[in-house]
Amino acid sequence: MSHAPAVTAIDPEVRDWPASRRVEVDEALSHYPNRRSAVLPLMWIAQREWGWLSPPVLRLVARTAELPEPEVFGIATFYTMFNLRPVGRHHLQVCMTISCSLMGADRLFRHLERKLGIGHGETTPDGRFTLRRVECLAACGRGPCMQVNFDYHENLDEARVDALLETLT
Amino acid sequence: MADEVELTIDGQTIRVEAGITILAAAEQAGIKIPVICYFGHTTANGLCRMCVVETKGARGLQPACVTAVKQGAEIQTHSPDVVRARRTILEMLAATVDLSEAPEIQSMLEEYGAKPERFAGGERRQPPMLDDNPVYIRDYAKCVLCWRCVQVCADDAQYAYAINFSGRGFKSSIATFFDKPMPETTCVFCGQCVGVCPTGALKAKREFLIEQGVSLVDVFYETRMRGAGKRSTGGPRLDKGG
Amino acid sequence: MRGPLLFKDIDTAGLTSIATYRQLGGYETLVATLGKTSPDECIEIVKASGLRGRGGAGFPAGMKWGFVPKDSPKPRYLVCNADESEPGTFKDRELMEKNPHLLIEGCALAAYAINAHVGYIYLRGEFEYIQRILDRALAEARAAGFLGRGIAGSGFDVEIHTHLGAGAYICGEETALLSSLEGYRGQPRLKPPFPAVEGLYACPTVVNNVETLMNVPSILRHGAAWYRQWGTEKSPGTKIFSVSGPVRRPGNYELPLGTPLSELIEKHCGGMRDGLKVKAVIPGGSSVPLLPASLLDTGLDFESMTAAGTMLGSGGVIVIDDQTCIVDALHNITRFYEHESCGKCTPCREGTYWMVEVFERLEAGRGRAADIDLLNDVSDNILGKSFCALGDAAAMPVMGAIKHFRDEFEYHVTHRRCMVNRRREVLAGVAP
Repeated sequence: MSHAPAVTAIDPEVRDWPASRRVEVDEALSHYPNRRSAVLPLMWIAQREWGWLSPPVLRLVARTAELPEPEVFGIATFYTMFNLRPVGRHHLQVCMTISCSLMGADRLFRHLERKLGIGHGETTPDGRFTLRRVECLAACGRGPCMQVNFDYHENLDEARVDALLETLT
Repeated sequence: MADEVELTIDGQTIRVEAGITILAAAEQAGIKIPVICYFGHTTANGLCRMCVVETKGARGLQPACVTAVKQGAEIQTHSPDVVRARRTILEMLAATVDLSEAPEIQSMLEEYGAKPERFAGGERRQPPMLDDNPVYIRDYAKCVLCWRCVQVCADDAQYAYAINFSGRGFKSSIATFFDKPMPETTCVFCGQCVGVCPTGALKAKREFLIEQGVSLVDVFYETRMRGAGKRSTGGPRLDKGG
Repeated sequence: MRGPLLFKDIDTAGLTSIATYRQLGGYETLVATLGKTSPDECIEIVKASGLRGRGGAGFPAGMKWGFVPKDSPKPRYLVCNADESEPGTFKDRELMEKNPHLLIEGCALAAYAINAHVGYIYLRGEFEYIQRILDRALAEARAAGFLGRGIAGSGFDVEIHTHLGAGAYICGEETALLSSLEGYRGQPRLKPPFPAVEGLYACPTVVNNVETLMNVPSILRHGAAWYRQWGTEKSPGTKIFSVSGPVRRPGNYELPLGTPLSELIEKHCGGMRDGLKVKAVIPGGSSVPLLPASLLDTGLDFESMTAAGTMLGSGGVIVIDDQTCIVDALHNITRFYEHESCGKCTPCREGTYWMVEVFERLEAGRGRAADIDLLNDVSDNILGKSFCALGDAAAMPVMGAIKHFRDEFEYHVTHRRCMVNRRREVLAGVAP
């Protein structure tokens, strides 16, 4: 029912924003007339810093945006791009929607599953890759397409994906 | 009078105060429009869509609980389209949600001749029952996502903010922060969420235990003693009148 | 030159830098307009141009601006909808990636017209790299005096910020976008009140699509009559069409509105690949009903598409070939809407789930004769009965497909497999 992972996952001790992120945090807060509006920017900063939104990290976001913790959890779970559990260094997000499908996305996804030995939402034991099916990435004219973290890779086929994976260490 | 409007509901012409909802106007005319999520003391959101009505000339159907009356409107509260929309909503809910303790919705199912078997074969919502505090149990297999509990817990009444939502779409649910047990949240065990739940998804622990045939002595221990319940360490000390 | 207006300079090297943009006449309209043409005159020019919203609904942009109450004591906001998430649509991505300053100039002009001093560009979360491009361009524009206090030598102040979403199609719906921007779950709000009256922070707000705003500078510069040299009477101007599917040259094409769909596919995209034939085309993003191949001569404008039983939508043209099973294709699309339904209202939340259930039965060869009507019935009970247009978007394509290709649905029930299945393997399984 809920998107929450087991709370026993790595739970880093996070009490405050690191000094190196203060400028970004203040900048985000300065863009809006209230702190609530900064909640998504703050989650993005937190995810860049810690890789995923653990309970202490979301608590920090809640404190900074001055929002109740359960609501911040409700916001984080509404969107698909926030990681509520740790992900691999390279987050492979394969578009499965109609245009990419028409060009072979499903075959490509199964190739990745076989090659990496993991399925949708899973991470390789060495923490190198997390594999996910995602919906339309606005790359329909150059499908199949996949985002690795934030980088777009388009016009993919099995050979191109294999070559790409080699470069992702 | 300038702040009154005249409109027709099911052929009956009435004058009502401007700005009130179609639901309120219908009530004044003695016409009952069925509702699930609507509750007089929580913010109306037009979520369940049971209260939809047909307005002549308007596109689609309008949720009566949040749509204001308009001068000259001709409204039908039980047109064939309306009845079919309500029946479909009831059928879909009955096919995935446990409505066994929602007598009002059950009578609607009957009234609208709903055939939930049209939607046989799907996956029912069956999250495990949550029994983590001495005051109430949470059985979200019975939840129709009316939002009332979240609203009374927040700005509509208690300002406790212990619960909110998790996920979206068909997988939406009511949740605490990372699904923590209630005693570890800001819940003050006021019981208002239990009071507004229309389906028995939230239920007083005592009522639940008595239904289970637990002896009254045990019910006392389970619900009123310090340390009662499965995971209530640190919870409220109800034995001291707190 | 890839197109007469928005694509005129699109492939110019270095266009993302303000220097190159200015060499091509960039920001001249802003300088020429501010303080010289009144905000009301700007609105009148845009109204006269007939520019219609390019995000999907096609609402006249000038009219939308005109709805902002002049006497409101509240601040006004301009919001650019850059959430581009409609399957089949990828125009705003290319426009922003290659010509960010045109968007900024369009935003500044629109803000001036509605007297807004703050604007937000709401980007879908996946466009993080575009946020970086835009933020850089915004900084350049600020440094050059085109944003900030007293811009372009006028007395008008405006600041523009980017805001990154985080993975939710529904945030392209304008009220859901505003909820998200305000820091709530991205769920739609009740209309009325409409955003022009009560939008962002309950203040008058105009929400315009990227392509819409990018048309504004040239319209204000050259006038309404000039803009109307392209397109039709009711759908003036050009439109960027994003073509995907097995055509020879998929991609973005800027064409005058009213261009026949067949011309786009045959002439511009070079026809079909691999000896395939067109079976159907979804002309306006996955939310609109498909057109069977027999209607390929329909003009790509709002009116002609509506007359043909579909909509121009976002201009995301998805070409479906004759070797693709329509049931498979619609299963894929319906999956998308189930995944993206926000969960707020019952018909959409439960209905999209059931539609997918029925498609899965049909795909697995367990379909029953009554299933096709059930699919139609559920769709019809979402259409116009749910909170926002996402429900309609889920319902209309399915109803349209059953109308035009009922035989393929029936074949699935009676033969327990696809009528055509060469590409079945390609489309088989989409994510839960």
